[in-house]
Amino acid sequence: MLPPKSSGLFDRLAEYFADHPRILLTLQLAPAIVFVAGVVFVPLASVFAWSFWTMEGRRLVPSFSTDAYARFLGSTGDTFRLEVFATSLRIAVTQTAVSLVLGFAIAYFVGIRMRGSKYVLPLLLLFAVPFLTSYLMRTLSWHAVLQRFGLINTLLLGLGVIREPMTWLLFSEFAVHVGLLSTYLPFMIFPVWLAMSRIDSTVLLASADLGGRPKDTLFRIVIPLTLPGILIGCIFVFVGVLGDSVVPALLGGPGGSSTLLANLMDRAVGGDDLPLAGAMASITLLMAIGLILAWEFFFGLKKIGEI
Amino acid sequence: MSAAETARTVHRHPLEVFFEKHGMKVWKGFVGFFILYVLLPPLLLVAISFEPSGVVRMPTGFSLKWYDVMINDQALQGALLKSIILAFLTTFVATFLALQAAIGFRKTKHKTLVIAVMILPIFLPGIIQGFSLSIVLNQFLGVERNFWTELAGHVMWALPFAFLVVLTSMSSVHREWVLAALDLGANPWRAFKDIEYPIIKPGITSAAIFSFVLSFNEFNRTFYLYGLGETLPIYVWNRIFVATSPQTFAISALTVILSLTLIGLATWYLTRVGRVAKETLQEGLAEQQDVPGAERTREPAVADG
Repeated sequence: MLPPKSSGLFDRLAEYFADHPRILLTLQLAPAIVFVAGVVFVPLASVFAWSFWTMEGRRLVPSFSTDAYARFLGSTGDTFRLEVFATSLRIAVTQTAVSLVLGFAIAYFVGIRMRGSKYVLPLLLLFAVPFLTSYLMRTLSWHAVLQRFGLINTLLLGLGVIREPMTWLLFSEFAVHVGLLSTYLPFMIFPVWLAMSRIDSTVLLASADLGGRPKDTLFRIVIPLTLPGILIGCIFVFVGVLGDSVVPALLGGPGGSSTLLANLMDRAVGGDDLPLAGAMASITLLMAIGLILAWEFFFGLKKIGEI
Repeated sequence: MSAAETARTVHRHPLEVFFEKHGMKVWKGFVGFFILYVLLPPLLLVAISFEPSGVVRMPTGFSLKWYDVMINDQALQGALLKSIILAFLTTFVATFLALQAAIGFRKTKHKTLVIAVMILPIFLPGIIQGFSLSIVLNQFLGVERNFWTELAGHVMWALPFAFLVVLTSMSSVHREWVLAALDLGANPWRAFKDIEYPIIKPGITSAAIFSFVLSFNEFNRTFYLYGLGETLPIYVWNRIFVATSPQTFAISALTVILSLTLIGLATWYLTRVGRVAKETLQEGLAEQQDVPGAERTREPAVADG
């Protein structure tokens, strides 16, 4: 049975494309690829170039100056930026570690223990809520929990656990960690859960049948097969924290937790010190690219499509 | 229970015994705590919007005062309108580009390249993407920030997610079905419209909803790219350090409720992808049995739920 002949515009175009599949393929892929390359990759690549340029007034002028990098490293005797960088790295690594442990456990519960349950999707959806609601206001809401007479202090005072409200809860590195974790934990849970959900149930059953305790199944089967998801989650959290300027600005306090790397970059852009912003961005990008290349090396990027 | 097993039970670590008995409760408590932890900020935000004093704190009363202020705030209305327009445009552009790219991805030989270009932006810090684009536009191309640079920022944020959602829904489409349509004389457009599209339609709808919500809440890139007029998140940012604009909580509370409703819808649609694929397959099977002499060389694979 032949489909009825039609002379609609789409059909006539389609007849043409049926004979020229390569042209169709190009037309389908090119717009997205050209767009992403133009607005994401070209600007990011240019960062590496103009981080070596100099400013003349408010304009970037081509040259080869390592001045921005030197200032970042503290050439003027001011190691402020380097200290911020160290603090940012420490916070990013801590966040990655904490969210890995917690996120893995949660993903394990949802992906292995709750396997096949009708509650899996709703549960995951609950963890996706922060991702899809206003990031600024969500962060500001932590004030109500952590402040002097906020939720935690009121609760603990009421229970008689403490006598004086704790003042270090808000505007501190603690608050920054609390805020960051509530934002980035879902970024760990999802890729790890996705990788776990790909593990065939029969493999888990086989392990149990052969006498493997849950611990053995976890370490010998679940973790090795989940590694791609784990690394993706780690990249998300680590790079995300390094690029976060909102949480430190709203929740951070004395001791350096209110200014992290992203805040420094933001200030440099605002102050028209573009090479300095570029130098810091280049260093951050290099770390991100290093992690992505590691993923590519171990697992192959094509796998992302399968996830 | 044999004697040996009893002996083993006796020697087991008390923690192990405890977990055997109460493991599920511990798990539920643990996961429940973190659901609460992650949900607390958005929920509190809704609660704070009813606080009469307008101070960011645990609500002490119930008042719709700030909703009233919100309704009469001209700047907020402008921001809301702009955010909605941008979100609609982003939805349209990102979903269209994502769909085309996903269809192309299934056919191309350069899969690694395409997936790398489409997905990598998710892994790079948004604020660097934002200011690098703004600097390239401003310093090298002489383009002032305007509505279209802002739209570009929103599309570049939504596109990878829209692409992933459409691609996921396409995994329910078996290549043979499309090939069969082509063999029977359908042109690629008909094959897409009549075979592929009905199956991935829920996927496209959820990609559109995701794009809308992502655009509506976008801040990091917009901050460096916005032209005349604030979007809603920028409006909020410009007032976040000013204690006298509690109406930002009112509008954010509405946004949270709207976003959650939309995402609920999107998920419901996504769960339909599998179902529609299954139904299509069953209809196909039923028809196949009606055709006399139809050869059935092998059982068709059942689509994943």
